[in-house]
Amino acid sequence: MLNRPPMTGLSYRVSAGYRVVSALCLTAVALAACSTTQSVKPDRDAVRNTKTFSGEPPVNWSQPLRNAHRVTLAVAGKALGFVIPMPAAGSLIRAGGVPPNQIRLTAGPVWVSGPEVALTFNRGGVTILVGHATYTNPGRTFRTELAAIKVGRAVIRSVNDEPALIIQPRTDYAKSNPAFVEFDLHGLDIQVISTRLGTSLLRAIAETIKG
Amino acid sequence: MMKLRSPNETTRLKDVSGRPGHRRRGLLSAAATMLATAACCLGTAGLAAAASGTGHPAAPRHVATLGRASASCGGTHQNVMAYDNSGSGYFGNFAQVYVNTSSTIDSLHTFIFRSLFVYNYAQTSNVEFGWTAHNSVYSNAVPYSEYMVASTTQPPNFFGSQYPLNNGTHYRFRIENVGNIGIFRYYFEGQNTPIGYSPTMSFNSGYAVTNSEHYNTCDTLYTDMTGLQDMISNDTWFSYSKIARWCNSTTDWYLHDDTSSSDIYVNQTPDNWGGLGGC
Repeated sequence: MLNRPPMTGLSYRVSAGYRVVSALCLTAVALAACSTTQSVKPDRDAVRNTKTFSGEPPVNWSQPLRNAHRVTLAVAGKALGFVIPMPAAGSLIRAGGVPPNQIRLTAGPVWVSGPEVALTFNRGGVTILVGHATYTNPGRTFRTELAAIKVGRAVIRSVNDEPALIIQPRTDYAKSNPAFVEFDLHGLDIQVISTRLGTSLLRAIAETIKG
Repeated sequence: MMKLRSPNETTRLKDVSGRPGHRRRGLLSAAATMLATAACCLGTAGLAAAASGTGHPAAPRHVATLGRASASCGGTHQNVMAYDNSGSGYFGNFAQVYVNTSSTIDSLHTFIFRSLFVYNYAQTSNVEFGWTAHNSVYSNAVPYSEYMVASTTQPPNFFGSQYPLNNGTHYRFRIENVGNIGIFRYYFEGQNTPIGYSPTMSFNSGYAVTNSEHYNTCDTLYTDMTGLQDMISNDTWFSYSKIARWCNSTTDWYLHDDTSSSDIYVNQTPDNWGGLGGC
């Protein structure tokens, strides 16, 4: 039996700690030597904090359609074969509320790309996309879109007593979507979009588009 | 089980003033030895990792720490995209898409994407299918799909380790709408059954678009997509006949085409054909 002085609590802890550190180090060396994978184990914090989606290129809402041509309203209508409906530009459009939620639209460039027309107002503050509706049942189509929106605050309401899809801004997976109102007007699909205005004012603008 | 040293114990270990000299020296000696052992082990672990062929520090966390690597790298979202400008109204899109080399993937600062799209005419909804790397829990390239509805981006879906992608290889990706019911199918390689589906979308056809994307300017946008085809009606496919730029938000990556074989590639060789901008 070895005649050793008794270990105090502190010296015992030091000794124990030394053994623990040695064991951990040997384990670390062994794992490093054996490791051949380059994968990272699932890190749930990283997943929650990671922006992982494929992002759309930012849209220039002053020229929202790619590969578009700038034209006059008359040329756009003639090219697409329909009279392009316009909102009440020039007059004050109100959505109510305090302070007053209102806007006066000033028309900007008109763009055409394929079968789609883009009307811009207030230097890209409001964009209205117009094209032939590819659906025959607007209500069902907007409910389909609503069902596909897994992330985003969207509802079905009405514009001029017709069903409309309404989406709150910055609520999608990227937290960057614009405010959005979509409705059908006599077989034309109309999307009223803004990164600056809320949906109540967009809906008020949409209500002035009557063809 | 040994109790691990707590910060408090470490503090007490260092604060040995006032204790008997021989015990202080003994404790200090043990502590110094322990710290030296720890340092030596960490160094040895590093050497062992290098010797095992991994040849680099542990893989970085997959967080969007854009622009973290060096002063010359910028955390910037950029796309180089092409499309078939011979028309619209395509129900599907197909290409053999190159997966970058392992050295390229290993040196990424953050996630990249190589994908195909079908956009609606208003360009506010789309479906997307391709591969991504350094994304979420995946260091290596994996297939994924994604979609956008009414300008709202929806979460991606990763197809994961079921479909491993080898570096430096082309893989076939195909998006196909069947039956005009708003559902797009995602086919990988020559498989007879789709590996995934879009939700029911509000459109069935539109623009066929290619995409190369990064979120850090030091990450590559190099891609090579061959055999580009789009679907004009039920199971009728034609090669892209008029390739054009959809969008290029960079100033130093260029879109090139080879219409004879319906290929596009993106590299840093200046070429006026593709042009810049349009995003």
